[in-house]
Amino acid sequence: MTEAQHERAPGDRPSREMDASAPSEFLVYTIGLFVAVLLTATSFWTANTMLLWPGGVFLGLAVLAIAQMGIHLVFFLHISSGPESTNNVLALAFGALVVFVVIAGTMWIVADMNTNMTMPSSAPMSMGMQH
Amino acid sequence: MPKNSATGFVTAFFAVVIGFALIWHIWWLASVGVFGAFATLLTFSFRRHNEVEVPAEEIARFVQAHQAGVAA
Amino acid sequence: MNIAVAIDQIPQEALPSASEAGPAPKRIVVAYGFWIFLLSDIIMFAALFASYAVLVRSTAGGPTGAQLFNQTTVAIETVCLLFSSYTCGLMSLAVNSRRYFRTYLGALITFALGAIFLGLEIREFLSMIAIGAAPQRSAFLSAFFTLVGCHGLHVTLGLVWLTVMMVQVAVFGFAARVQHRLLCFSLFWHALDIVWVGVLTVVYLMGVSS
Repeated sequence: MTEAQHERAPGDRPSREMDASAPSEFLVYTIGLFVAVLLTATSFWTANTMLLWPGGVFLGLAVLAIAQMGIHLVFFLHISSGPESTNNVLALAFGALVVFVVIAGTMWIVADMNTNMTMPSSAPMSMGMQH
Repeated sequence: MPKNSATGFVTAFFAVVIGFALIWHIWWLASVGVFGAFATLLTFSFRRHNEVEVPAEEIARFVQAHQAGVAA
Repeated sequence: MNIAVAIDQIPQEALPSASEAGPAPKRIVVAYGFWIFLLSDIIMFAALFASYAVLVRSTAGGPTGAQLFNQTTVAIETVCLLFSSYTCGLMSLAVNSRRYFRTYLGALITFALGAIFLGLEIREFLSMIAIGAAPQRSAFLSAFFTLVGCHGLHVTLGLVWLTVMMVQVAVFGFAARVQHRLLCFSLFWHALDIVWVGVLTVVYLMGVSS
């Protein structure tokens, strides 16, 4: 097939123009695996070390997880910033937005409701039952 | 164009079986339904010819006949 | 989709515009559609993650994550799934170059590693239920079993799919639609590993370190 390559399927091989200068696909997968193993090991170390304060552990784990997801997307799924990947990147960005809204929104709303249920001054019913 | 298939109809039948069995906790019937739906999917995925080609001349004929009918 | 993209490096006369080039090849359309489905699946996982995050402290006097989780098991599970993602990638390379032996080998190793992951996870679930940490013990455990169980269910279905795909490779060879389906499978399998990175971090590592 010699039609112009405007798009690339997600997870598909890189386009032909890039083949000459890009590393071989086997190398791409192997580098991705190596970095992912490194990030995983670092995550386990972060969770078990005494060197970080608890907030730092939480932050470190979150950053390492996002980094590893990025490595998977770039090295295994070949999501790039090139023009042929635009549709895939847009779909992914929208998905990430919805995921963020669902998780952050749920946690915020439930935490807010939780606060409203435990403060006696804002719950007239609990005061009514105290006599 | 995709070729016609009864897969949707048969799968819907098994879905009804699964739903009925799950509601009344008839576990053996539920697994029969799941297996049937899966077997239908497998049969559908193994068919050799899944497309029907409509030649351009036939479409041109349809369009001309329709336009002649509209004009009349 | 006809998004006009800036292709500055390529002379404009050499390529027809995206709208003149006609519909995209089937391979791209199939994979893009499956990619969108996968994103919707990940949104479903996001809802399960949100439920878990909200219920993680609701242990109802029962066992907490720190008491239940075994880091060695989790580490082995993670390594298995990660390497199975790698061998799935190698299998994709073999499919693209139409090599039968390497495809079957890659598929076999991917299946074996996925099966080991699943076996370890089922063993973990059964041992938790045996000591009374069942899904109905507390809200935390319900959320845990739902989230991790849903991921395990996806892995199981993926293994079934892989088996069927190898049968199809044997019957149809590397026909176009078999290649499309294998492309969708590898997308699915990599996405499962991405979700597992989230499960590992949020459920196991944060549970153990809290």
